[in-house]
Order: sequence, then structure tokens, then C-alpha cells
Amino acid sequence: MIRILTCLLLSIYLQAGIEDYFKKANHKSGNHSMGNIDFIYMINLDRRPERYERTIKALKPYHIEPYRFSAVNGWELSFEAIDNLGIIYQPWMDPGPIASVYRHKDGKEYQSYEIMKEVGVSYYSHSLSRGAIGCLLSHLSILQDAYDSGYETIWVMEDDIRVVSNPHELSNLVGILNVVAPAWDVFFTDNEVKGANGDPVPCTVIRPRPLVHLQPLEYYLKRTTVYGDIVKIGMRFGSASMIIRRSGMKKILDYFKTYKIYFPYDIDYFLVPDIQFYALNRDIVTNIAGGESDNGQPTYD
Amino acid sequence: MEVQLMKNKLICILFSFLTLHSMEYEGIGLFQSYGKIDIDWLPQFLPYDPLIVEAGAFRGDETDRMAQKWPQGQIHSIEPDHDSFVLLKEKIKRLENVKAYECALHDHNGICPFHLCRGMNGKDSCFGYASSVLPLSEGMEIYCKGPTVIVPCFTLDHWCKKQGLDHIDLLRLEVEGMELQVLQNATDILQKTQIIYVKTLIHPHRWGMTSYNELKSFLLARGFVLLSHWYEQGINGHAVFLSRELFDAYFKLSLGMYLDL
Repeated sequence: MIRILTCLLLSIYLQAGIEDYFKKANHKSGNHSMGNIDFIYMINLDRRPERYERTIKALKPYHIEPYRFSAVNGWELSFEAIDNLGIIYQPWMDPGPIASVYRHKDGKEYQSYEIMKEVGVSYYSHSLSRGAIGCLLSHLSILQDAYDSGYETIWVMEDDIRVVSNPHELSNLVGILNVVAPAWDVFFTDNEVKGANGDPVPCTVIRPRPLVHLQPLEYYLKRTTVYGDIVKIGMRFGSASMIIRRSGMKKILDYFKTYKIYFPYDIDYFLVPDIQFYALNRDIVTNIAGGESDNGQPTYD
Repeated sequence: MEVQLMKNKLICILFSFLTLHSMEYEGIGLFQSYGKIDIDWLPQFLPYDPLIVEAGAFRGDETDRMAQKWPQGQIHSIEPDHDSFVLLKEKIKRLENVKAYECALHDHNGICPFHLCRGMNGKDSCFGYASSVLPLSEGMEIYCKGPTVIVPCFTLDHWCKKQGLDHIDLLRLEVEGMELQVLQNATDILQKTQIIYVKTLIHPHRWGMTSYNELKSFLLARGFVLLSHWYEQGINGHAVFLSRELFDAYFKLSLGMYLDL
């Protein structure tokens, strides 16, 4: 065990850190806060101005103005970045799952499905797209910016949110959480992510993650009401709208800096050790059902 | 009497309709929903540049599909029927990643008789896919008339060594009853083979042909796992077997599914 940990730490030290690929949040002037929330970020690709406009329009009646974070476009990441962001297979590791490898040949890139066993190669979970890598990097870049900026509580939204009811209620709910669940890390502003037909899509399975110790499934499935509509949850899908506290920023950043990128963000974030997730039994801000995404493939012009 | 005849006729039509379209399935439940065996769902198990060996390429239709699907792959296609081989060569002439070989796979190296199938009139080469190194069983001669020719043959192990192949990512076998004999003489390369995509013959239309159950037992004993087998009861089908390493890497280590096999 000690040998494995030593090897893990040594290999992490020798590799390029994931933080080397974080994107800076520039031009953060203006008021992007609300009660109990120090800063509000909205992730938006430069190639998607219409989504930015749509989100701004949805929040305008409530005088909420998120800071636009120019998203990391995974489809434009360099080969070198892709070769460094995944799990780099080390000689001391056991052969792993069939995973995705981005292979390059004659200047072209191919997604290859291979058993994780070639030393020095960067592996991602099966079929993980460049878009999903970019999405995760965007979230992590924001968490790093927020942490470095000294914020206590931030609200991170993507550009496919649907405002169901007055978001200012979130300020009160954060206040309540601070009292009834003082160790909370992440607070989702809805019940569950919505599928294409608008129905909630609960997360009910966990998949093995190389190097990471998983809790039994029951641990992640547990839902406990803590106060009114607020529930403590073990896992869920979706990252359209999350309120994150400083403790949560640190836990998530530490996890990804140690274990690198492997799964999409919302299949990985609940594996962060000791992360304290909370959600609502109803929706205040949720995702647009069936909203288009550039994660699977770029659909912009 | 006439009514009875009509009834019998209708029953016959209905029966033949049902038997023609009633496909049976065995394998992993997850893959049943695909409804058929198809190379379209094999990429999820394979690298971008797989090494593919295809025995029984016939006129190269599947070869062409595979070459398009894996443009960086290397495809080695074997076809002993000369008429089909000519068409195969024509089909692949623009495909840089395919090599074709005019020979048969067998249980020995050397030459062997090859029974060409040219249909009921003995002249139609479009039935060449049913040609085999095995002779036809009794009663089948009328469906598969054609001459017997002598062709070069190799064991799969020997042929792979000859071509310098040290592993196979995908082995596509369509050798008209010789599947078991071919695999029994491929013990070295089988240890480094990840996927076997095989035509399964259930109706004994040739002497000495592989029974599917024997083939399956052999592969299971060699550490392969049946992923999916679609077949028409009593006729034929297609099956996909994965190496245990690949199976575990996909189901256990990637999906976290511990399947009761």
C-alpha cells in the first residue's frame, strides 16, 4: 500500500499537472454576486453566443448577472494536453479497463478503445469525448479561480439552465444549509438532471475508477432529508447549476489534481472522498430538457 | 378435401415464415438489444488500428465495410475460391489497408481438395460462399453442385507466422464447417486473439463439419466468453466471442458489471 502511494505521488510529481491546463477567468469586473453567494459564474463556449444570451435573458428578471467564463473548448485542446490530462498508465498499476486513448497519426487523431496497460499512455473512460474533457476543465478552472480569489461560496452554472422559480430563494437556502448542515460542500439547485423528455434521470450505478477507492453503492444511493426540501444525497448526474463552498472547491480540486481526468465531470464528482452533496426536492434552476450539447461532438457552425 | 389442402398450404406458409424469421439469442443480455451480429458494434472493443484476419472473405463485401470502418487497421483476407478471389481483389484494389491471400485454412499445411459450390445448376459462382474443404453430406449435393479443385492450405498458426502476425484483434471466420479444426490448429495465435466473429453452422450439410456446441465448448475452454449469438434454429447464425481479458476489461473493470456467466 505504501509502495503504491509512493509510486502514485512520485508519478504525479513527475507529470504535467492538470492545473497547467486550467483557463484563467479574465476581466472579472462588475457585480456578479447575490445574497450568501460571493460570485456567480456561467460557463459558455465562445462559439455559443446565443446560449449566453438565452441564459442572461432567463436571469434578467431577477437582476442576476453571472460572470461569463469563456469555456475550455475540448475540441480545440492540443494533442499534448490530451496526452497529459488523462490517467497516465504506470508500471506499477494493474491492467485496467477498456478505456479511450487518443492516438495521433499523420497529424490526425483517432479515438481508440484499448485495455489500459501501456506505460506512459494517457487513458480516459470508454468513449469520453474531447467535449466532455473541456467541460470538466472549465469547471475545474472556475473552482481554481474561485479558490484563489478567496470566495467562500460560488454558484456555477452552465449555459443550458432553465429558471423554474425565483433564484433569490437560493440565498435563503444557502443560509439554512450553513446552519443545518454546516459541513456541506455542494448544493444542487434542482432535484435531478432532466432527460430529453423532461423526466428526472436519477443516477443509480457506479463504475470503477482506476486508482480510486469506491464506497459501496448504498453509500451513494442514500438520500436523507435534512430540512424542508433540502436533501443530502450521495450521487446524481448533471452539473448545470451547482452552488459550491470553499471546502467543496478544495476537495474537488485536490481530487482531480491527484487522479486526473477519467470520467465526465458528473460521473466523477461524487467519488471525491468525503464530498458532502446536497440537493433540493424541487427545481429552482435546472437544466433545459433535451438541450443541445457540444460535449458529444461540436454542433456549432 | 380442397379446404384441407388449402389449410395445409396455409400452415406450411405460416410455418416457413415463422422459421425464417424466428431468430434465437444466447449471450450477454446487454447485447441482445442490438438484434443481430454486426461489425458496426465491434469498434467499442477495438483499437483504432486493429489487426483483422478474415478467413472466408468471399467477394469482399464485409472486407470493404471493415476497411472503411477501420481505415488505420490492417486487414488480411483469405479466400480459396478463385472466382471469388478475383472479385475480392477487384474490390480491395483501392484499399491500402487490405491484403488478400488465395488459400484455405485447414488442420495441416500443404494442399487440400476444395469443394466449390455453384448452386443447383452447378454454374452460378454467387453461391461460392458455401464452398468448403469439407464434402457435402448426403442429400445436399443437389443444392451445391460444382467441381472440386485443389488449393493451398495452412493452419492458422502457421499462416500467421508466415505473415509475421503476432496477434489478432479481430478474427472473422466463415469457413463453412471447418471452424473447429481451424481453431484447434491455432493454439498459439488464439492466446493473442481478442475477438472471434464466427459464422455458426447448425444444420449438418457437410461431412465432418463443426457443430456449434463443440465450437463453443472449445472456445470457452480456451478462455473465451460468448458475447452474443444470433441464430436461426436448426440452420445457422453468427456468434461473437471475446477473450477473457477483453471481456473483464469491458464489463468488470469498465462498466463495473460482474456478470454471472
